Amino acid sequence: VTPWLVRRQRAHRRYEVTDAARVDLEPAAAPDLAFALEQREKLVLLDQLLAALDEEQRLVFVLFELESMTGSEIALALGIPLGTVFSRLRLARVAFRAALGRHRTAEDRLFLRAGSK
Amino acid sequence: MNEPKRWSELAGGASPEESEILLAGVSERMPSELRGQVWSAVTQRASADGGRRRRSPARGSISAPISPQSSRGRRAPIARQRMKAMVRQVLGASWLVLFGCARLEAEVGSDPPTDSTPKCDSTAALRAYYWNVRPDDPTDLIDFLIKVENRSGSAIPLATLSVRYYFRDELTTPTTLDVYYSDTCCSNKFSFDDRVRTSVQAVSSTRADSYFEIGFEPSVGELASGDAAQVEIGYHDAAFVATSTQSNDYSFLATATGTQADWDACPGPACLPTFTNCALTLYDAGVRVWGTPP
Repeated sequence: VTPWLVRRQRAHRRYEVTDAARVDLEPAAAPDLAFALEQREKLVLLDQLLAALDEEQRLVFVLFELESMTGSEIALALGIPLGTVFSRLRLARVAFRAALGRHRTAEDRLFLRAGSK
Repeated sequence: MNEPKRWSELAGGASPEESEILLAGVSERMPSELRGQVWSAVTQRASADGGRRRRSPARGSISAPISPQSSRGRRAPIARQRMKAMVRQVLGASWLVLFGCARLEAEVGSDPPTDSTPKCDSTAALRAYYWNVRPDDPTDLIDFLIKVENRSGSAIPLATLSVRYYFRDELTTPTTLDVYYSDTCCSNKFSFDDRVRTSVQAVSSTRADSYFEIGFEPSVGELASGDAAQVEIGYHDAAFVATSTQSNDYSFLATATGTQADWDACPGPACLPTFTNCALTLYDAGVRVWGTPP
């Protein structure tokens, strides 16, 4: 876990440096860049959280929550009962929430460790 | 079956942080035009696959059935390979493939999976407990209680859940399968004896030839998160004369005994060691979420 966090921190710092340089050159673009950075961070996090789901649950979750397909469309597309679609969706939401909780806990630990040095 | 709200919608159930993360993904989702192309292409290929599909899809319709399987249990590997190739061809390494559709190759054209990642420990979102109230062997009455605990974080319609108890059916005379008791506990208590579905089904295994299936009528309603539903059933020769050997029953657990007080304290910290039975299986909408079948 630690090397992963270190890699992520480094990647994060790279983004910050790059965007800070752009803000120096184009001050008017600062709000847009800040928003873009925030969005990018959310997407990176979303990617990590989705990766924590079982494949079966991730597929239903992505199609329903992000692709806005209906449960019936997903059932037809995957050849599974509608009840199974909703069951996987529910389980995926639970797993997504748990993954976010683990992520925040890891961040807090990292923050505390950095603060104690 | 009611369509749930998108999680990120107002009152959809997600926290503000979860909603923000999801909405970031929604704004970056695959363009609907491309998605339409994908499904249209898949549908047309499925259509071109002749009689292998279940029914004729409307060309270009996103909601048309695309599964090439002709019936459950019969697979169409060629059609599946074609679909897989098409999805890759149209999407390339696009967003949908990266995030989830890699599974499409296993899902389309194959039997619906019946298992998620079944667990049998304290990490399971749905847990099944078993109280053996009549460990006599042989016995003139198979009598036990099952309890299903919802730790998923959201309410679950009980009608989507079912429990199986596997055994060797040695009774050859007319038999009776009774529901002696049922209720839920504890944030929302109610009983529903007359709305429990039970049946004896055959199973092909070297370790069991039958199972009791215990389910719930839709009118029973939902099991709140943190609550548990329990059912006691009895199976016997109609005249209480013939006996059953329990020690050769796959789901029989001689050690899962205890007092009513022990059972009432379940779910709880002391519950798992005593009343956990991994030879029971629990299904949620047809997906096995607990235990191992014989």
